[in-house]
Amino acid sequence: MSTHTPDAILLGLDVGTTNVKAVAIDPSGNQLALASRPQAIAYPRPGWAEHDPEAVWTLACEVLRDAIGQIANSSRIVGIAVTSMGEAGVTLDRDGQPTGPLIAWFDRRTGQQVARFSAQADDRRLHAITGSPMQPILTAAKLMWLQDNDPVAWNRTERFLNVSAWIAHRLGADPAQDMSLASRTGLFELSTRRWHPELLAAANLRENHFGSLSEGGTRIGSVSRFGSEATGLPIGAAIGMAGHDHVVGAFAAGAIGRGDAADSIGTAEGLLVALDAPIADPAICETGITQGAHVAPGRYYALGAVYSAGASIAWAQRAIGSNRPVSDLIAEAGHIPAGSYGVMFVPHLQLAMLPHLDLEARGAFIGLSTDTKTAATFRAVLEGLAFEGRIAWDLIARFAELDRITDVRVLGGTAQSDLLVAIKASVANAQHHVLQLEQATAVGAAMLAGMAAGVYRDADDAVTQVHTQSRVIEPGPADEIATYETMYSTVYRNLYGALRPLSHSLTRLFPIESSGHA
Amino acid sequence: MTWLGLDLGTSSVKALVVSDEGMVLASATESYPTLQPEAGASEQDPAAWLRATIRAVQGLDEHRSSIQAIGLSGQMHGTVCLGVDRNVLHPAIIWSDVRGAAALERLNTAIGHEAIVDEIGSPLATGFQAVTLAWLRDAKPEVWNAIRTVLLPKDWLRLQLTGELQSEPSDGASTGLQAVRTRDWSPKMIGWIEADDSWFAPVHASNASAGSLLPTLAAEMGLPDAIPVVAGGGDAPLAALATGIASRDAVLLTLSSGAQVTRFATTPLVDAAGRMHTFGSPLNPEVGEPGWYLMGATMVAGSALHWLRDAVLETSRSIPDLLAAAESVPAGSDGLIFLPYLAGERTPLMDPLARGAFFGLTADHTWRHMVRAIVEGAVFALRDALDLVEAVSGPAGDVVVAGGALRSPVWQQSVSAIVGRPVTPSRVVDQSAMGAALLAASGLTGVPASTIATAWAAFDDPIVPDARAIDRMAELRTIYATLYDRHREQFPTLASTLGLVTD
Repeated sequence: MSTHTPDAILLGLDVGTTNVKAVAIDPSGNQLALASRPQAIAYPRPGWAEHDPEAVWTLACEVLRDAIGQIANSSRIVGIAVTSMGEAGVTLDRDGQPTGPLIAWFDRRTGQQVARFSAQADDRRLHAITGSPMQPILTAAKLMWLQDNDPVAWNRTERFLNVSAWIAHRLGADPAQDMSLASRTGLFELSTRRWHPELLAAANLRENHFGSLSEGGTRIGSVSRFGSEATGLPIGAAIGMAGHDHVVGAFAAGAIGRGDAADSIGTAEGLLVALDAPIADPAICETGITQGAHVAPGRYYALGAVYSAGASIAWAQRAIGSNRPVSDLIAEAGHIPAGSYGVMFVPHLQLAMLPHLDLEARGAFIGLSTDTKTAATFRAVLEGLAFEGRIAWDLIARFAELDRITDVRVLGGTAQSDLLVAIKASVANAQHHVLQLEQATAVGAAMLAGMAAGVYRDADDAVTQVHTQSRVIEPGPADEIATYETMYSTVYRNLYGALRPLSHSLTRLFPIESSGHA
Repeated sequence: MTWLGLDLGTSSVKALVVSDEGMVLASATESYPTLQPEAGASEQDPAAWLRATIRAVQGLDEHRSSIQAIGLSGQMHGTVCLGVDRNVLHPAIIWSDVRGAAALERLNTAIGHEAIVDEIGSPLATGFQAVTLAWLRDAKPEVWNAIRTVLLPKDWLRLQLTGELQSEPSDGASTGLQAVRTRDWSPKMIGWIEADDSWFAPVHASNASAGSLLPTLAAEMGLPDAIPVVAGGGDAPLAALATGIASRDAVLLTLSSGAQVTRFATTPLVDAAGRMHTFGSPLNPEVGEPGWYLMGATMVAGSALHWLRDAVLETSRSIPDLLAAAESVPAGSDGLIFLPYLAGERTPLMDPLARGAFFGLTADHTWRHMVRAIVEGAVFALRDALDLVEAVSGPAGDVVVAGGALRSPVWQQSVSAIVGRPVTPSRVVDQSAMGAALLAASGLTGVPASTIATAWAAFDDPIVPDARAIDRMAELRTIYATLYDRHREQFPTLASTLGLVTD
């Protein structure tokens, strides 16, 4: 149990792609304040996306002032931590001033640099070392882009900080680099939790281009006078190390022990399983599963993703649901028996991430008959998402030598998505716990702040002390589970492979329009 | 001189008065119900056919007085059983009745699918008279035992009009009881189903006079006394005949709820695998006309658009509205492919378990893409049937298309681009009744029916496909073709394994 006062207040700041949010919680996780502002983003060219660093800082300060203003006694604030989106950060000069743009995480401008990086660091080897395949969004590629395209700015650059570490630094922390975001650079060796010298060299980078590597929940400094004046935080409050937003969200959901699973359902979906050690089998690199360092110190995670999850539902609403309310369409789908009369949906509307990353994959409805009606097609969309998620659970369980996943913490679940979660529960034959944790990422940051401030002894203590309400959704009856098992094992699991060559032929004839971002 | 064509269809009878030049002078339609006394049944009351026919002819008003002869067209395959007094023993069992499914399986097993195809030029199907009789024998022995005569629907109607029992090859073939090579009843088939040769009416030429209109009916209908009634034919071959394809080495593509490929042939060319029909035609090989026709049929064409509208989109918009909206989608539907096997497929797959699919979905696809993809998918399927017909009978000199769907530019563009040749739209409407009228004219004047058909036929300018669209659709078609194979590998047993049957 914690030795600290129960009236301590912890702040979490979540700098995301679409919103910047701050929450204040007490040590039990009760929300005391919430503030949010929309994030600005510019698209200077096709495929490019940038934030203005100073605008991001200003927004962060506003949101913090707003949240702190909602708290009766702000002097009780003992800690803050900042979480942020994936492969995004700021290059800084000796005086801590930005030298280049804040390139958004999904920006794909780095084609040439990726080619060069690949030439020196083979994709499979990179994947085995860092847990992720070569892709244009990696931080290393973005830094190489700056080297190539603005050598003057690069020559002035002393250091790169991820957005979360940079905001923390401005608040008063030392320059630091958390390990979950280090896992997204293309330079970080998972097994040792250290920078990989050869990969650094391949990207013409040095260790001291980054802040000092720190585990999640480490105290990386205290709020300075400047930071206090800008935000209203008390001078001297602990600044904790947080990190990559979806990992921090899984932390808030309590997914830190080996085999703990968290399913974060949004426009895209992340299916994360916490691990004690990275999966070493290089065959994992042939799958769409990526790995990274957890924000829980010393721990790891494996992640499968469904790129078009909520996006598939929104598409189906437009394309086949005549734009009727999703709640109506889901209610009607609820009256259709499991299996949707044999209609199946493959949700690769933009690309496939499971069972392999495949930018040329395409979606499909199969098994249509004259008797197929809207409700069955809509249910098939939900079932397709559940089957796709099951691929992630199965791959991770197999490679991590876990027994099957038996419990899943659901983030982003709403009452509206209960049917989706119920189908997922039957398809995975796993109990699903829908967490009432709307601000999971910001709350996770606040919990990491609590570790830094000594409110929690460690990550397990933080997860134990924070009480999150949840609704349990059980798998359906045995015949429903059996129906889904047959559909999954005899059809769905083989569909991607069967359709893959056709998708590729089709995509060569009709290139998929890149809509730019998630 | 004018001619009366009577088309006894599935849901209504149409009466058409046609001039010597092939002009439609008057038409009238009267409908009748299909009864479903039990699951799988499709029955009609023959007496209702006669009443509707009388009313339809009465509806022709003053045009009745100049009629010289009557020709008949009829819904094919069906069964009317008559007893010793030519009394109707049982309601007519029409082509859409599926109660004979088990009997069909038994016949295929006992006789052999290949032997059947070799004998009758076609696989058997439920609703064919041969299958219906085999079913009746077990299911309704009291009917079976009383049978003295079995007729097709239009042959029963002609019996009422003239008092004469007759049959002819083009409708007779559709019973599954005529031999494709002789264009006459098959002793083998009749033996296989344990029926009696004496039940079947003698076969005459389709344009032969089959008696004259009985005075009582002439009076009731308001027609001249004792005008000749010619034998007539099945509605499908008569529709094809009326478009004028018999004399121009053309193949006909008909777009309706499903689609058909029809071509006339001078020899009985049979697909041994039974992926299409080869039947006797309503023409006379004795005078050099093609005595057979080949027909491949796909299950789904226009009906898939109704499915999308009613079952999926649940919109009240009209089909022409949907098609107009799809005009903004380029050929190829931005890479969305539709497999149209919503109800299984006939020619050439013969796979009742096939299912439909939308493949190639991206987030940018809308319902407009689905509309266009459905049209393109239906035409891909039709092209497969066309390829089979041409593989069996040789390349056709010309492609004629028929069907109301062709008013839509989306259908026009898709058919021409996917067939990959200019296609010529037929302007003949009410084709089956027109075919019946021209048989009447042929019978009375002695001019071959195919010659009259050529004289009466009218066409729009050919639709010439865009070269790039041809290439694009050819590329897509290779993916389409593989998609069915992949789909079949992954899907076939699922429905039966899981009992995934729609309510």
